[in-house]
Amino acid sequence: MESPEIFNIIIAITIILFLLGFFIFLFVLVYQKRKTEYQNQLVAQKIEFEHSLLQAQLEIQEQTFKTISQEIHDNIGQMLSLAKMNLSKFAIDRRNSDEAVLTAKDLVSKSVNDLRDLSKSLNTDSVAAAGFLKAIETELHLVEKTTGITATLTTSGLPQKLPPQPELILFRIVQEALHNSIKHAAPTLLSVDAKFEVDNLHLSISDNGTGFNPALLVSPGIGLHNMKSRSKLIGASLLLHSLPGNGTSIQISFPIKQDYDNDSFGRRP
Amino acid sequence: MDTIYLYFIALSVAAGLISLRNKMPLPLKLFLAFLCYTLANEVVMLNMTGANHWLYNIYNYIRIVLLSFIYLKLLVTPILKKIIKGFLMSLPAWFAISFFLLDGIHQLHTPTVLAACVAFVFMSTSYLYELLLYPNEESLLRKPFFWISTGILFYFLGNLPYLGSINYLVKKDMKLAMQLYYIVYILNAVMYTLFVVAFVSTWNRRKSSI
Repeated sequence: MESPEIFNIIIAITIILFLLGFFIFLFVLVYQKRKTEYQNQLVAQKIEFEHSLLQAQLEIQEQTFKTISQEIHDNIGQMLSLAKMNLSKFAIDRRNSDEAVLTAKDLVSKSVNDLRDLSKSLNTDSVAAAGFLKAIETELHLVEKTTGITATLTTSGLPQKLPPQPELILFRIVQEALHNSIKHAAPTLLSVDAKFEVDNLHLSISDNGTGFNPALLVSPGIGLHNMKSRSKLIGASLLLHSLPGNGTSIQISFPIKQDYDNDSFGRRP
Repeated sequence: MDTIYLYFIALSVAAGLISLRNKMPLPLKLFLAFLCYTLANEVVMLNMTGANHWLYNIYNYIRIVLLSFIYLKLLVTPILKKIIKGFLMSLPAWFAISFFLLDGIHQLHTPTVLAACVAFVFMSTSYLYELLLYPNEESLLRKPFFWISTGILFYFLGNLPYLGSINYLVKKDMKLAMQLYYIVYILNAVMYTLFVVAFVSTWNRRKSSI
């Protein structure tokens, strides 16, 4: 090789290595910037998740207290008053004593049972302690007792243990859907259907109430908005079906086997 | 000078074989297999007497399939995967046109070589683009396919003008053609050095990520 050729080759090597170095440097720089953005996004999502979780817990608590107050006022209070009346009657007139005492005894033991139910629902970790299905069953039982609406739970597939955080959020979504229905749709029948598959849980909350045309909703109410944003937060999908006069149904699909640690947010598709 | 590139290929194969001590993800294993095949092919071609273009043609089709398959495993964006699958499916057509209409078996299938160059540039760029799109906690310098894709991108991008103009240059300016040939040689060495870095980046790790 002649010396100008060697010189040209050295120049070429220098240019190639310079371009390569510059490319790698630039790429690492942009990657680091993107990585920082991604980490910030991750932290923000985590904070939002925790905030939503806390809010759901508070709302469940608030709902429980409302139910308890209603239960004490409408049910236990009435029964104890009736028991007191029976006992007063017994003090005045002892002729029908056996019947009055028996009635009072029945009323007191019913009140004791109701108080026991209430004390169970006072436990703030009731959802985690009882499990998702049991908590829904209790909620439906309370709905039946306080409103007189027939509320049923049906399950299919092999029930699986859900991770505690999404379990709480799912329960809150179901609770919100039930109370929305009672408040706005005047139903006589409420049903929750839980279908367990290997990787997914499909929940359906339906009523036979007045229904509505979802297309006519100018903006979703706070309840519906909360349900949607919470579903999104735990990676679940939420669909609402409703027709005027034909009731409303909310379908939720939740992927059971996903991680809830740092990596679950903003993963590669 | 003519055989120096063989040492670079052998070095990258050796680095890859050492990396086998750790658990390797499938695309990296396939890439090592591809390097072994490249080395074997180059050694055979070097020791062959007579025309060896037919062997390079076969090598070219196999490397397209292998590298496309590797990038199909690496990429996650559906549209990018579809484009690569489309290119793979059009490969028999490239072969038919080159074999029956243009070059036959003993001539170099230049259109396919050029198409492969463009495809490799596209695949490596797509991977680098996805790296920026979906960053994660791991250091970029620890990702073997960052180095591999950078090497492929530089080599084939630099190779394109050479391949595109070689026939013209050989006729018009042999001196310039030779100088360009040396540049391709340098790019080749740079690419295999980056492959070595890629394998070295997986050393001393419990689990290699792609």
